[in-house]
Amino acid sequence: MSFLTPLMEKSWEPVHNPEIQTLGRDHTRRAGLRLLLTVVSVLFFLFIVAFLMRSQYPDWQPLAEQSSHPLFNKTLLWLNTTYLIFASVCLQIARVSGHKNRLILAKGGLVLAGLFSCAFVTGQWMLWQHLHQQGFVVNSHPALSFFYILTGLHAIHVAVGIVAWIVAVMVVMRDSPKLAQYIELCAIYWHFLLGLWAILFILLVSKPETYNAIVEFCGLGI
Amino acid sequence: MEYDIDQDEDMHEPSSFFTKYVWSQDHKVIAIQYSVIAILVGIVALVLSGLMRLQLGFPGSFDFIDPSSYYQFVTMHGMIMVIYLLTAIFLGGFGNYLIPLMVGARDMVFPFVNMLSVWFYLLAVIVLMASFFVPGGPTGAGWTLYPPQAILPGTPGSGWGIILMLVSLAIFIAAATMGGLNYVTTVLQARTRGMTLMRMPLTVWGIFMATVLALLAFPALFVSAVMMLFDKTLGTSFFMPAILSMGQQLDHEGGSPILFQHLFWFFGHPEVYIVALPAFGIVSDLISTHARKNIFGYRMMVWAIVGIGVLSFVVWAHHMYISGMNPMFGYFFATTTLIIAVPTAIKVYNWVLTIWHGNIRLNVPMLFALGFVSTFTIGGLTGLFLGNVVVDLPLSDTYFVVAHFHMVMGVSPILVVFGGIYHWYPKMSGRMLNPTLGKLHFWGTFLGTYAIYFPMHYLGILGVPRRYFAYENYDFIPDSAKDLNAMISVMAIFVALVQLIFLFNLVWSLFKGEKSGDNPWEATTLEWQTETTPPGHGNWGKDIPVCHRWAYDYSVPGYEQDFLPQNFIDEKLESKT
Repeated sequence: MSFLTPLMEKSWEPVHNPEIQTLGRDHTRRAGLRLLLTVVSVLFFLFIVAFLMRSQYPDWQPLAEQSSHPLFNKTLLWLNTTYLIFASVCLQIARVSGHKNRLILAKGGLVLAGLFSCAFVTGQWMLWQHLHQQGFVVNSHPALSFFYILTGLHAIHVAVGIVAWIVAVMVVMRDSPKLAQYIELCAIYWHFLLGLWAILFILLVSKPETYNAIVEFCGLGI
Repeated sequence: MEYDIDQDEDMHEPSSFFTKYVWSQDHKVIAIQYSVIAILVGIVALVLSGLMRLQLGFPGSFDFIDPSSYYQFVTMHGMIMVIYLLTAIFLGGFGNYLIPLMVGARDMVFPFVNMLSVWFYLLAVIVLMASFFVPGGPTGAGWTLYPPQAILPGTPGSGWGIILMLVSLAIFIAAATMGGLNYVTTVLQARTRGMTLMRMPLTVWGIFMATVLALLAFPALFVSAVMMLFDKTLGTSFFMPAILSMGQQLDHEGGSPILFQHLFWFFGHPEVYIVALPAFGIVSDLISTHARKNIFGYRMMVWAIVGIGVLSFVVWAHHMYISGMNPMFGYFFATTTLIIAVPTAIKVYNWVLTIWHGNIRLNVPMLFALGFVSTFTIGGLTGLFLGNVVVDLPLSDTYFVVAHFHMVMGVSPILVVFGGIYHWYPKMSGRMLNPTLGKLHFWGTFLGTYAIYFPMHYLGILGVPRRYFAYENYDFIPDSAKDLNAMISVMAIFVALVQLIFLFNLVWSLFKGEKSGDNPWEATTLEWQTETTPPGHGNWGKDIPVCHRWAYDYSVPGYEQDFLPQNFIDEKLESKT
């Protein structure tokens, strides 16, 4: 319970020579990023809760149970997932190389990660097109509506990451000392993107029995 | 553990008029931009409430108010006051101005993001205001925007009005998140040497905790706004059940309006504390400073703030007792609602005990702080009525609820906003607000708002329903209730006019107000110890202050002056070590 210790301090006692700990700017950026990702997690958590609650209504149709369902063929989904895994792996390699001062490997990893992410967004767009052509549109049924909202927001999340990536690449090309710091931030962001995508993927292709079990376990039935 | 980040990095001194006053990254300028926008949009909401009261007090006398426009006034008044005025001014205004100054930082940790935040806020306000000029006008769905009626034809503004409202909310949430990331990270990581968490003034604690709530609660509003936008524009059925509208079967089916209510109130209840916690913090500092006495039970005050913050996430369904839910839920939420009264009551007792035997200086900020304690106690007590399911059921759709929430989250926080402005205006401008005009403003507002909302409790107990456009031909509403309504309307217009004194004072004092000096209230917190008033870019001149004590060393025995600033170096203590 160490986080409670500061709250026990006797504030009214003055001190003569307060202690000091210097924190670098990178520390602040990391903290800010983690906080942002917490907010994003809450956002998706609430969407998932809404998804599960809505799945209990009689008009719910699963997305991937039978061959007539939109996500029964998961090839494109797996392909896109692979892009995101590669992006994450590249950044991890860049992160480790950055710490060991292998600059070329670090820069290469950073650039490749961004390209894979662009491939992911393009792939998701193609998936949407594919579903549209088959007549699966946003208001076909509630599970599909959720599919479009969740994948859309996740794609926006990736796109924002790509904007940050462009800034990072520009900074890194100009100023190598900040390389490790920026790669670190990108790595945190992309690992989160991957983890979030994995959860969404599992959620969207799960069976209704799984939803029912989770809802029952969490007492979400309304 | 204290932190001292390298604060001199990234201090971009503004060089042109635009970077100094328009595209400024300085937290003080951003705070003033936030506050000015919030006050302007607040005036719009005030005028809307006046129009509502004209209809209620003198039904049928004004041709331009029809049922549709009345509902539009109600909706826009509520939404603007809660979100675009109170949330924005407490977090964006006071939070931006005070956090870096009070914790001894040179600026927020992400100044660029902070600047984006205020421009997103302005964009949200412009989108919202645009809804007054689109075909069909702004939405009239009530500030809770409950589906299905919010997006069905027949509800005023169910076309462009509701779309613009939802888009504006989404933009506002982006703005609040960008600001919030700054406030929380600054408090956690940019405190000056010696400024431990428990040496922070309660104002910072209140704003900090409110920001944490905002960061965790606003996503719920975002989720519900996006899903409702889909229901409206793309024909999905997240919240929309199968429904007949104007004799036509609509395409929607199977959606759940209750799901929206859960999401909305999961945001909506913490929102009450997003507004209340900064008010709690600011009032604590005002009372302590102007009573020349240390705040009673500082640690308990901090714990109460944290406790209220946590509890505020498990009480939301007390807004839904009449929506229909499992009776055990009602039992649970009634219990948590009553438990949250404990830390809140601790705070009220501590304010009163701080005043007790204090050397009270009845300056204008102190008057507003005392006014707050009074109105908040009244509003809090009626909250205990409404927190109980069986009492809430008959009262829920009556004026009792209107009276309750206006006392507790309308009048109370706005009194603190005024108190805060009177208190910190000298730091922002270098001049005092005129105290005579200030006292006139206080008494007009304080007594006037009591005259408005106290009688509403009686209307509620009589069973007068809220949200109605007119009250003709209801046998159970006696004529005396109509007279009371007329009186309330007259007082509402009186209070609105009294605010003109405040606006005049703000502008007049900027040029003609008495020069304040650096520390007119003889306060201890760091913002009063700056080298210049108003503080320059980077706040502290060459050296960042070091914090040696808490913010409440007033009337300490053995010292000549009755206050010891937080950066005061104690020679007695120095000789001991």
